[in-house]
Amino acid sequence: MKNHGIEIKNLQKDFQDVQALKGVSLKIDKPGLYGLIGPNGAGKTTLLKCVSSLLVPSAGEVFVNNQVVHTKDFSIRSRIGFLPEDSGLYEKLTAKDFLHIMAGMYGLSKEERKMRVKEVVEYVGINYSPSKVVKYLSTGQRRLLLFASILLHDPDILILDESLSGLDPINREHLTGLMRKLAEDKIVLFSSHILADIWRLCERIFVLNNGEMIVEDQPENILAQMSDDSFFLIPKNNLDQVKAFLETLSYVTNIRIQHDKIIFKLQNKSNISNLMKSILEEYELISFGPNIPDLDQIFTRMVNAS
Amino acid sequence: MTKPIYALIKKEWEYNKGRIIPLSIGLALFGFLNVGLLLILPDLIPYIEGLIPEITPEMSIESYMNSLNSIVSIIAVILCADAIAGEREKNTLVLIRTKPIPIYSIIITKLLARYIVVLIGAIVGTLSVYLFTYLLVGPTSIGPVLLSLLAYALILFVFTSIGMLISTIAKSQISAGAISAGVVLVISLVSSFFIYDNLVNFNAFQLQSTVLLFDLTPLTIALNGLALILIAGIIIAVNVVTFYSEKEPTRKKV
Repeated sequence: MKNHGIEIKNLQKDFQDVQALKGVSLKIDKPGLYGLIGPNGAGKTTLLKCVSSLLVPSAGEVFVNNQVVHTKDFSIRSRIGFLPEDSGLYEKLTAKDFLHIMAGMYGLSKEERKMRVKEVVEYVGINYSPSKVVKYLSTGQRRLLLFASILLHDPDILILDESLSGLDPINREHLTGLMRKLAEDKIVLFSSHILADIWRLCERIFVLNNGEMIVEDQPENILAQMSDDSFFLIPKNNLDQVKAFLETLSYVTNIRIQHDKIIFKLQNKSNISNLMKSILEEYELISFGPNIPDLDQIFTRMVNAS
Repeated sequence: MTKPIYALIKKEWEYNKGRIIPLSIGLALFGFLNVGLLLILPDLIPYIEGLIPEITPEMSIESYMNSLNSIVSIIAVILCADAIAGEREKNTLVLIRTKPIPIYSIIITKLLARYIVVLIGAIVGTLSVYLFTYLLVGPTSIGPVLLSLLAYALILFVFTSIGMLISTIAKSQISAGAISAGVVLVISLVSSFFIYDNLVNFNAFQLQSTVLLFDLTPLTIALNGLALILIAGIIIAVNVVTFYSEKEPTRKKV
């Protein structure tokens, strides 16, 4: 196992009168997929750029593979593959030339370039002709090409800023599959607005808000903390009547209607069977179960709580 | 392992090589028109015939070298506009900045790529003027022409450095091009007023003309050339420092 990891200690970054990062700390010490989420302007991109040695921190330190990250120290850049959020491409070049030039910029020799470009094209699954000029590529093809370009030097750490945004479901699935595969022996830290992707892919989630790290945990733990032990049921019809019926039951509390659902709590979970028996005698149900808030709700709750 | 800078040179070459032929043809054509216009102007406007002296080969060459300083220099700085400001606008600068390439290498590579493209055009234009002058006006020695061209090569290097610096500072490619062209025009115009009397020895920005018009000593020429190299060096150093100290080097300026 390679000794790779990211450690951020009390990182601060100021842009004139805006404090983008206010003492952020985090530690990643083993390969895997790590997600970074937060509302717009939370400081996600600034954090990722500091890790990638593109920005100089105002205070604090960033370590990559136990080495301090500094914008003057280029050896770090050879160990990191950074995919920026809105990066352009050299439109006039062919896809193959683009990859060769990018590989060359990482210092790969001609033979290494030839071999790596071939390997990466196969690995990433670029299925169009490499002689196609970049300006004629679709959004998905461009994203894949950029993704391929950051793998050429076989980095230990991949930093992906909004890498899944703007992709259709097929390309997104393809890219997440690749990320999973890469995470077997590399650290993949990625930010995304698509919470479902972060939730299902990552083994650890970092939530940034207003330049501060507000939550850092495993998705299932966050979910457990955020759920409130309530239940939902969806009657086939007579929503108001069912609600009125529930109000007559002493062990059912906090009853409210949310769209086509009735949300409620039970004084004791052992009352579930009694409840179901009583309801089903009178009404038909479409669905019933624990009320797990959707990801947007969890995210909003976390941000509001901070 | 090879040096990452070679890949950047290749990229710059791929992006700029297409400019060499059109620029060379354009400047050769400009050279031909310059000589042709000098020859036919008295016939076109008969009453000025007595005002201008008889056209000599030296006059033909000198006329071209004078206009080279403003026109070609403006072309050079406009080509520089896309070097940094253009890449920033297209969000491609981050592709270079994430690679292990020092900032000074980025600046110098981009500068040299554009400088060489324009210099090739200037050489082709000057040689075509020499050829047209030789054929249409009369024979003349090539030595002063080459010396003038060498002097212009140094001036062009300074102007290209100015273009690069403005491209680093400017918010957009268009504003970089416009500001640079204005700066070059002002320097060329102001310096052209000082090619008389004692000032001629200190007018480095008109060296390509003064070596043709005056009997400058080799020491004066060398000192002027040195001054130009020094100015270019200072501008490049300022450029590197400016680029390095940018707070958000990869993002568009607003």
